[in-house]
Amino acid sequence: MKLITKIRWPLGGALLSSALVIGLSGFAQQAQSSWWGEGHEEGYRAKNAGNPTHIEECGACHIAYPAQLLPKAAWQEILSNLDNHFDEDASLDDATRDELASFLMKHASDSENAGKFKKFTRGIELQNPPIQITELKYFERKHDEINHQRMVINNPDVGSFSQCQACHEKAEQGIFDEDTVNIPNFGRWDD
Amino acid sequence: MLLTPDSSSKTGSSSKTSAWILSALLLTLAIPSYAQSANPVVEQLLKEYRSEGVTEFSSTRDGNLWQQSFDYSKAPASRSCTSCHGKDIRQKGLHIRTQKEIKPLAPSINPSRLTDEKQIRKWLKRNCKWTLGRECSPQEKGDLLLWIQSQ
Repeated sequence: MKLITKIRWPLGGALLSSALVIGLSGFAQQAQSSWWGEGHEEGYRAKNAGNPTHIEECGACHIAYPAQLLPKAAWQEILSNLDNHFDEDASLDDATRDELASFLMKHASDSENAGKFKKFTRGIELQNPPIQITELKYFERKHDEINHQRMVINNPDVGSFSQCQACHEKAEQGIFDEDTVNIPNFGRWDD
Repeated sequence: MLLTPDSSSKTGSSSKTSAWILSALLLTLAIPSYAQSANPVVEQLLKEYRSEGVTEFSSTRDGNLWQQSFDYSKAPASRSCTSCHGKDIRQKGLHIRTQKEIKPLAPSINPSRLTDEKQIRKWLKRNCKWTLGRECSPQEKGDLLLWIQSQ
């Protein structure tokens, strides 16, 4: 009895504080996982999509496809064949090409700056990848619910899967989140 | 000092008159030199083409090259400058393959045109190769630049 009386306050205090610590750390963890986990995923937002040389040179004839969509080897392949770029002459002077090369390598889908776009490396041979974004396995998977004929090819305001910006309203800013999709003549895409 | 009205009114009418004469003189000198170097970038390129053997440029001859079509085995099978830029370069163009809008080429509508030598060289090279299947001659390039400049 005497011993219990002696230690009951310290014991109670220790139990209470440990319960508090465990409980609070649980809360903290839960909060963290819902804020940084599923709740606020980083999204398909290409970092550094606004590089001036990239926009100027790659964006002159088509949208400046974000570096994060293709792996390094694909960009290398594209850059070494600019004089026959999908049957067009897109040749550049060496200095500009080198500048673009370092930018594209730094942000490619297999680089540390890929973020969520890392998924675009799925199912492809990184050393021998397709050089067209639309031929990537992950691209195909992400667009498998789109009716290619009706919504794209025969859609007068789209025409081709390579016209990202026709449906992805913020494509030119490197943003491809689903809530930014609006297919012309079909409307918003809510999965 | 001489040209500011304040200082001239203090020192009397004779210096006021000389100020006017001087400014009139400066203006008359400025007008022709401005007209001559309206586009120093184009002038510089024309000089280069002359050094490559061209004796005379014609903006009207190039109105023709602009409209001329060239046949290809690959699509688009018929190619012309107008395929993407249109016949009237005061209007917007549309890239024939990507459908990307091309801002008007005419400097009268789009003053930034023909101001960047690097851009001019880059696009003349690429677009001559696409359209004619070869690079343009110095004669053709000079004629084209003069024609675009006149629009």
